[in-house]
Amino acid sequence: MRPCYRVPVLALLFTILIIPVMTMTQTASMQSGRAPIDVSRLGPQVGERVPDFSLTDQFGKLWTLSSITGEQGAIIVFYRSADW
Amino acid sequence: MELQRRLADLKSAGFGVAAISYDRPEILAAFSRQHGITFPLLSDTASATIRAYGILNTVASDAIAAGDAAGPSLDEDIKKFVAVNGSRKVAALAAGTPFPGTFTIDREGRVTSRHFEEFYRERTTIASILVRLGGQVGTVAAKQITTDHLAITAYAADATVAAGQRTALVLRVTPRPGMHVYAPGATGYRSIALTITAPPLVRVGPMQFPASEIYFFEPLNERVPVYQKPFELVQDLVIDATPQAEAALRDIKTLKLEGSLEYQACDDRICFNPVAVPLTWTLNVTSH
Repeated sequence: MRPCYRVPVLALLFTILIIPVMTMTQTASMQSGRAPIDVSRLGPQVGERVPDFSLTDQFGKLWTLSSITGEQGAIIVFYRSADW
Repeated sequence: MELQRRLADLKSAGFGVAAISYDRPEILAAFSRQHGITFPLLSDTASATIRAYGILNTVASDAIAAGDAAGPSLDEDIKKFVAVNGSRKVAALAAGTPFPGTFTIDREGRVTSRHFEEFYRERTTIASILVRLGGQVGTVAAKQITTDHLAITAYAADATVAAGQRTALVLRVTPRPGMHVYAPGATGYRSIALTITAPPLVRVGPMQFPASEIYFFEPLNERVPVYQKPFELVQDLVIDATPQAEAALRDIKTLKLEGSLEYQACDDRICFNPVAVPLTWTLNVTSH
């Protein structure tokens, strides 16, 4: 009888424990609906190369990553806007 | 603008600098004239470089797409990354902007450090970025403290701070000849630590410890992490950037921080009792 007895117990456990957890998880993700934003994971990480660029400055001069870079390297600041 | 004021420091440290935004060149030209900017403000009008760097502010476009139907978690993100008051007008402007932040790169274009904030109104100051890289910044009032075991130079990366700035307090420590102090991870000894009592409007962040070396004490066959050469401790600090904090800071001229540096020093014969050195920093406050 034992093997037959075990199956319903497992099924019961599944119903009692697992399904509510699944539903809760689903509800939570539906409520949030968004992946959390971790700005520290966005873009090139320490040790990785940054993309090159070719952009014009406020005086009309064209710059690339290598023309910006000094003998020790460069500091590249990304900011929102100078306009608002 | 803090960056413009630090140009000489950056140049003498050998760093080039550029600031990138989605503004049109004529906007940048006007801003540059108005504020006397001499370093390149690069115009990334189609946000192509911002996208290539993978740091496009996606919350702004999500806010526009959702309109008034934004759920609580999007609302939360909008306040953190777009507009603290939840303004959809700012969201429309912010579409195409990056998450603000700074990369430092080496000569080969590899990232050596990166500074992106969890709140769009916060910025790591250039001075503290330089200090964190082990560089020096000029024109800072340093205090010299000498104990029986150490010579300590205490200064602030930024003598003047503003709302939203992530800055740093720095301790340059030189153990006296033959002396060592214990580094984090040392067991059985008091490892060096700084406790800061910050006033309201200041958040104390993590401490940056340099790599330690292993000291071998033969009589006890003991290996312990220590500092015995000159080293630098960099204590992270953020000036609050909420609108309320910004308003409160307008009435404040200085922020005083009190700290206690605790350490235990030994030489090759004697271990001295743990010591607590009181320290103070006074930061001037400006409203940008």
